[in-house]
Parts: sequence; structure tokens; C-alpha cells
Amino acid sequence: MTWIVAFGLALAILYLMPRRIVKLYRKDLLTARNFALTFATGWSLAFLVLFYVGLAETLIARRDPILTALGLVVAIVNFALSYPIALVFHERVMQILLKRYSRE
Amino acid sequence: MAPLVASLLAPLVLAGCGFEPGIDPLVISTAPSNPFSEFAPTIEPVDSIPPAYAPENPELSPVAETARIPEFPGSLAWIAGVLAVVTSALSGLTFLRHREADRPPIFPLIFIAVLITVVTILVELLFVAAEIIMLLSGIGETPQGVVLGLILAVLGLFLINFDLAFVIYVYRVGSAPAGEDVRVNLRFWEGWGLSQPDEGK
Repeated sequence: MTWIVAFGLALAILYLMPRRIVKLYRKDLLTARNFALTFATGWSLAFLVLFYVGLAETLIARRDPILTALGLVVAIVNFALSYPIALVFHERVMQILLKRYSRE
Repeated sequence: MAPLVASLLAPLVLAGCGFEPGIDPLVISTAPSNPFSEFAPTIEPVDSIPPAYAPENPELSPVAETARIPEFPGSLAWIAGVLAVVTSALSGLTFLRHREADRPPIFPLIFIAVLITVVTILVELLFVAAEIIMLLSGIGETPQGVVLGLILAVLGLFLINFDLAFVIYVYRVGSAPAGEDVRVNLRFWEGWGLSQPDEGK
């Protein structure tokens, strides 16, 4: 049952993340830093939710500190990797796309 | 004698031909001279269009508009492809085992897990870009656009599922007792292999 909740929450996060980026863009607040921060936070949060909510029963049953910390480590690694990648992506791809759509 | 005949016949011949030498010759009328000609602009041949009168860009179809973006970086797709190939090649190498119970070394597995994470982030960024394009072009607000956005989110979930399955596989390789056969388990409802400790024995 926890899997349904975990996947539902992660799905909502992944679905709302691009909408939040577009909302920032329409308010003229979308900088490269904001884009990277929104993407990295959404992506890492989806990992955290899927890991801790999805594995809640297993974590309670096992009581393994390494496994419990693993979710946090994975989320931090994902944030640390996705933030700089999203910065480069914004500079190389998103700016071109956004310029094109602001022209229309 | 001859002049007499000619003077008698000439009026008859001329009357037969209908020739009337007294009529004025035909004169084709021309336009009267323009009294304002010195104020009129001089017309000269044009061999170039002045910038002020240059034609605007023609309205193109969406397909033609897309084709006019030469600077769209295809390098990102290439990087993602190369990383995916390297990741799959490395993960294939780690499964060269002598016995069923042999385990791949943990540090290459961690390296592969990081590579898989980078690839999934790159692919997810492409999904996010696709959804942003849909929202900015107005398609994302329609019911079909909402369904497409949900499909992209589900694909993102699949990426997370694959990444988490590999991370938990690395954890299981490091923590499972000796002799236990550990394999990648993509089934999230089994906790990616954590809910079934006896699996593969």
C-alpha cells in the first residue's frame, strides 16, 4: 500500500516541477540558479519520497542504519549531480528554447 | 496624240482609285506636355531594395520554424548516448563471474551507479524541457497536454525506479551474506529485492 502513496507523491512532484519552472518564467524570475535549484530539489525530493515512503515497512522491519542513511545519501548525491548539470542545461538548451518562445 | 489621250484618261483612272490628294495625312496624337514635370520624381531603374522597405520574415509553419534553429545543441543527446553505452558496457563487465555466487567488486559498482544517475538526470532534463515547451506553447493546458505531461512524469518515475534499483543492488552486494546470489531486482513492490532476503538462493 505504501508503494501506491510513494508513487503518487513522486508522480505529483515530477509533474508539478516543470509547471513551477514555467510559473517562475512567466513571473520573469527564472534565472539559471532558480532553474537548477527547482529541478535538483524536485528530482531529489522524488527520490527521497520513493525511498522512505516506499520502503517504510522494510526500513521498520530491518532497523538497519546503513539502509536508513542510504536514502539520504542517494538524495544528496542526486542533488549534487543534478544542480550543476541543470545549470549547464539551462545555459545550453533552455535559454535558446525560452528565447524562441518569448519571441512568439 | 499621246498627251491628249493621257489627259483624257487620267481623270477616269484617278476617279476609279478613289485617290483624293487634298486630304491631310493621318497624325497620331501625343500626350500634352506635363506642366508639373519638374516637380515629379525622377524614375530610375532600381537594382536594390532599401532597408526601410525590406520584406518582413514570412510566416512559416511550426515545422519550418523548428528547422530554423541551427544552434540547438545536439551535443547533449550525444553525451547522454555515450554515457549510456559506457554504463551498459561497464555493467556488463561486472557480471563476468566464475560461479553463480560470485559478486562484482563494490567500487566499480558505485562508479556505475553514479554514471547511471548522471544519465537519468540528463534524460529527465529532456523530459522537463519537453513539458516546458508544451506549457509555453499552450498544449500543456489542454486535457491532451495534461495526459502527455503525466506520461512524461511516469517516464521520470521509471528512471528513478531504475536508478534506485541499481543503488539498492549495490547495497545488497555489499551487505548480503557470503554465498547468496544477488541480482538486480527492478520490482519496486518487492522493495527492489529487500523484501525477499531468500531470493536467488
